[in-house]
Amino acid sequence: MQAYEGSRGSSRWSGPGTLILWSTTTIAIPLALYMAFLYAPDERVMGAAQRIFYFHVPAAFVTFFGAVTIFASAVAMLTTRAPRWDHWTLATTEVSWVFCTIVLLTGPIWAKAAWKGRVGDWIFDPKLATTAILWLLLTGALLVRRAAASEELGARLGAVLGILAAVDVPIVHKATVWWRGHHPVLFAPGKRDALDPRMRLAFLICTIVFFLLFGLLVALRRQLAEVEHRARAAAERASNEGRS
Amino acid sequence: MAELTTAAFEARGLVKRFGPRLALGGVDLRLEPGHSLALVGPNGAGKTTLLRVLAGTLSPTSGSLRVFGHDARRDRRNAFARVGLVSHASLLYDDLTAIENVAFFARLYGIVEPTERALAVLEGVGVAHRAEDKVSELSRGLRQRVSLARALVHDPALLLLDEPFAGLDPRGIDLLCRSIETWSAAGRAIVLVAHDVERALSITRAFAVLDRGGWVDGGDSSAQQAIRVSAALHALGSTERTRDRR
Amino acid sequence: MRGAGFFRASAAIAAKDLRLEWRTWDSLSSGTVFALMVAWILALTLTPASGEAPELAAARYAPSALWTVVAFACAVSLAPAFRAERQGDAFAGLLAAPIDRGAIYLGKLASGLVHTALLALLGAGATAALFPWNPFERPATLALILGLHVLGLTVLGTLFSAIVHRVGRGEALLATLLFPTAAPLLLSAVRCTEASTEGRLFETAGHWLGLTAGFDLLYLCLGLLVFEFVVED
Repeated sequence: MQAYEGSRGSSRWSGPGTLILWSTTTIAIPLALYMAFLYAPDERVMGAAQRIFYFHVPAAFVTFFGAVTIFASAVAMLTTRAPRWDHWTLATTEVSWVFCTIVLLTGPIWAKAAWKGRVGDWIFDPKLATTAILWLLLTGALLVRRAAASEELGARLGAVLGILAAVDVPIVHKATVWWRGHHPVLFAPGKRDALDPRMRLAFLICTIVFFLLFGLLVALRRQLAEVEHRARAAAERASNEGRS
Repeated sequence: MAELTTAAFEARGLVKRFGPRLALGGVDLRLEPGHSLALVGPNGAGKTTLLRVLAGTLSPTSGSLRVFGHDARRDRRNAFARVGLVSHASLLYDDLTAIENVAFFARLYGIVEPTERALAVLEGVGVAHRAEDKVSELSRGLRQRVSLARALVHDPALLLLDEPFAGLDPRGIDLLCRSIETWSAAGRAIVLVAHDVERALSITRAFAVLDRGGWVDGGDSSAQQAIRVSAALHALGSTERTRDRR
Repeated sequence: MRGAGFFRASAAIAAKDLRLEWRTWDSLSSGTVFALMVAWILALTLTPASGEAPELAAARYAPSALWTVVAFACAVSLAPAFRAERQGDAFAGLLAAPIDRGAIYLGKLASGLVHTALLALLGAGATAALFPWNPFERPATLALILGLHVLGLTVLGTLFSAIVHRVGRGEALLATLLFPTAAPLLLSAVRCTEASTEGRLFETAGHWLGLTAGFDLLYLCLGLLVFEFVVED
């Protein structure tokens, strides 16, 4: 008779992996907060406001890593057409959107601390401009997914837009760097060594925690997507059986 | 392929899923060249889905389809080159004239002299005198004939008809029935999806009943079969109605 | 017999679309009105600061104004690209034809490019008329800049038009998708136009031209690859 996707097998990710991720992240978040607010010393020029750096920059790292995961899962979705890859694409897109929003919200605070007062300046920063564009691209992909009449169509269009968005990121970055009128500057040297070792450690811990949090949220969102998918399939099956 | 005759099409294990909904649950179907088949079944049985997969406008979730020996997925240009599609929608551009429409599709099928060929086909279906009129200015019946011309312009060996009687007056229906019989006699394979079971079975050699994406019945078309199938479908339809009332 | 070849099928689709456009003026009429309206509003609002020479102000504003006009005109004129296929479900006829799906995209892209290129010329004319600024001094470099950037906008716009059409939305969603994705194109277009007005396009904006050419090629390939996933059921 009609074969529905098995209720076993595909749920293996919800097992020990997620649990370990859960517990590690739960322990690590207070640690990160401690490192960022208490352990790391005050920055001389910017003062306490500089501490936003421990959240802003890791969130940005995670966002751009998120773009890579969107690209990978979207390509897998379009080549295999398997719903499980769509669940990954949906999860990575939504969670990346959340981290992207965090970057944009913390951006002006960081900019205010760094450039003293001229909040508007941050839109000229290539990295933040790129993030803003990425935010719009991700929002567009999610909007189209919502607007699609069926789950399947939404999955395909969401994957297509995810690929187009991810590919755009490096180009947007290049363009916004060039926009400032100078030829590309690859690295601003010197600053790294000036960093206090305690600051560097706090930053490292916060970055790790942000990646853990990203992984956990993606895993949970993916599971939720799968449960939703199975619930819809079950409802469909029930309505089919009711007919005979 | 080692087989002696190449089937008009051969479908194996066709599955089509729309998200969680299973529209086709592993359909096998083979039609010999020159044969005709009526596809019947209640609403939502998957008839139109199956026809659209056979026409190449819908790709199956899994399963294989060979049309005149060519794999539909890997070699769509050869597979669908000899398939003609008539639907209840006209599949025409309202703002183009009849001849422009037919000639356009002739070009897509790689016909060398598209306008000449289009005019000949329009003559064949009896609308040559309105060839220069926009499709939006034609009556439903005339538009349907232009649709037929569109489907026949590349001289298909397999014709797929999806509810072609919808919206036609009795004269139009009669005319279309006779055309179908002529095409069948000319050796074209035909698949017909229609609501009216008795009419569908009266003009095809065989029939198949689809329900919830799978086969439930089938055989040679005959008057007794037509009555039996029609009664069975009526019963299916009425259980559906009781369920809706609940 | 097999279906028409890739480029033959694209040409047939493009010719059909241009014929339809000639008959209905669906896309060019709204694009023209929109382009002129945006140009007029920008000319009204972007005025020189007190004491600033109008030519200097124009040199600063006009390239951005030109590309704002072109971007909006592209979005508006490409939105109806798949509207004709909706009547009579003609799109099913296209999908049933034995042609490559990419050929449908290329055909739509070609006819769309005729519209957007005409509107870009109109935009250049309108900004030249409304600002004390003349982009037509160097017609060859202007053609190169318009061509490269409008091609990119059309490559993206055609694909997004198909997506928007699939979900049954209109111009607003198309613009929402098109503008952020095309951000590098728009930045490049403004820099190239500025450089061209100064007569030093290749010296100061050569790297932008390279970026745009790469962008166009990359997204054209992506469009041809993914179009199938957008249109099929």
